[in-house]
Amino acid sequence: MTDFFNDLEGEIPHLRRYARSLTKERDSADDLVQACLERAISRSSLYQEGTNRRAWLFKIMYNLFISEKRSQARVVRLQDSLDPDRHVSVAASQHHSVELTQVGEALDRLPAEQREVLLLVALEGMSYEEVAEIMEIPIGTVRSRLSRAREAMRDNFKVEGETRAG
Amino acid sequence: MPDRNNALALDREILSEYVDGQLDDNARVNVATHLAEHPADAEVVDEYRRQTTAINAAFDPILQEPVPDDLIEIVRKGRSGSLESDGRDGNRAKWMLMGVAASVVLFLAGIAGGWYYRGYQETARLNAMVIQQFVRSASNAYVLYDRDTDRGGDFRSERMKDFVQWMYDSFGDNFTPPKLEAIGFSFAGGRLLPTAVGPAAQMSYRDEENRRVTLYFVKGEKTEYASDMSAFKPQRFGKFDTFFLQDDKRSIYFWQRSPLKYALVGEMEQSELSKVTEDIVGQLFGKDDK
Repeated sequence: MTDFFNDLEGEIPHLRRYARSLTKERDSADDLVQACLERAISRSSLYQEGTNRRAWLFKIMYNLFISEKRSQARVVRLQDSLDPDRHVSVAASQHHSVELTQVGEALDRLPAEQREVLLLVALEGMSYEEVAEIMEIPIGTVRSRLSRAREAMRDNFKVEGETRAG
Repeated sequence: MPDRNNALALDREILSEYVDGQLDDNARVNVATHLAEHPADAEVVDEYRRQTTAINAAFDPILQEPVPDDLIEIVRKGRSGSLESDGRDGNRAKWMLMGVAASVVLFLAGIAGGWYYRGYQETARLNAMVIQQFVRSASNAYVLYDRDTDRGGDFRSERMKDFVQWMYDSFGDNFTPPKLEAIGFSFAGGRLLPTAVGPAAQMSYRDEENRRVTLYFVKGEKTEYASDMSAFKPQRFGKFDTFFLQDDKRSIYFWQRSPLKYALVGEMEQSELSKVTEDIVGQLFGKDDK
């Protein structure tokens, strides 16, 4: 059992990186990592030795992330229904890039589900099957979202290179 | 006539798979050959690879950051089996409320005052215990809180209206009291009973033969069904799953639908209670699409 915890500690930098790619902002990313670690520890007996531990952890983290996004959306909808004249700040949904680089800003322009697939494949090196498992989507959806993401990035990235519009 | 846009999209998917090493050997060789003869596609592949390089370069610094102490501390506490939290960490609390299986929280809340879980506990076994504990409480409450031997409770009203108001205050829109006149049962009273997991509501119904059933329910996070629900017999009503258990003279149906857990108890055969369950489940969840 101690191997599980040693390995888990070794995964923390990767969990932090993946969390940052999801949440953009450092504090909430580390909050997400904390919740992920706690849930992983409580489910340690459910992890099958020999299977991909990182994919198992990323799935836990992605589920937590999506649940929080949904409950935030519910809060916003509830607020809207209670006070339709309330100005909803669009800025709330735009986080500044993890790194203020061209690729960071290009990633930000992608629809969330495309970005999430692209990051799991290009950044975290997950196989398409692992991505399908983590995000609970069909493997065909993984392929099409990934392909659309890469094509959109070709436009975003190039444009960034040519002009630096504000 | 082939759809050009679709064909192009499919080609790009294949190029993506090629870049990610997701093609089998034959397909990979075919694509490599194709790229050698089609420089435009080869350029697309290069661009995909440049994207990957840039993405990794942007995020790698995070990998090199020193790990915050509090994250390491969690793993160490998990290893020693003493992970503890009182949820006071501001933002951290937000994630933790979602992150913890609340059924574990509920089960242990009465024991230590705070809450904790042990890393070595089998979550699955614990969940099965939570469910059995709940069902046992419902069964005991059926015996203890018989209308004719009133031992009191925090709330008691034989008037449906008062009870409904209290229910709404406690559970909001999540619950509408079932009416069982159609199958011969009338509402005989409601109780609020203290349990280790918070107040449980018990609604009693009686028929003309004075047979009694109680609907017992409590609010809390859904408990995941362990693979070991072997003590129960599953029964499906429409698209809804319930679980049956016999406890001495009492037949009991258990089910849950966020945010409530329910147990229906009656001293009768399963087949009889099944009809009551069917009616109640239909009223509570009849509008569900799932």
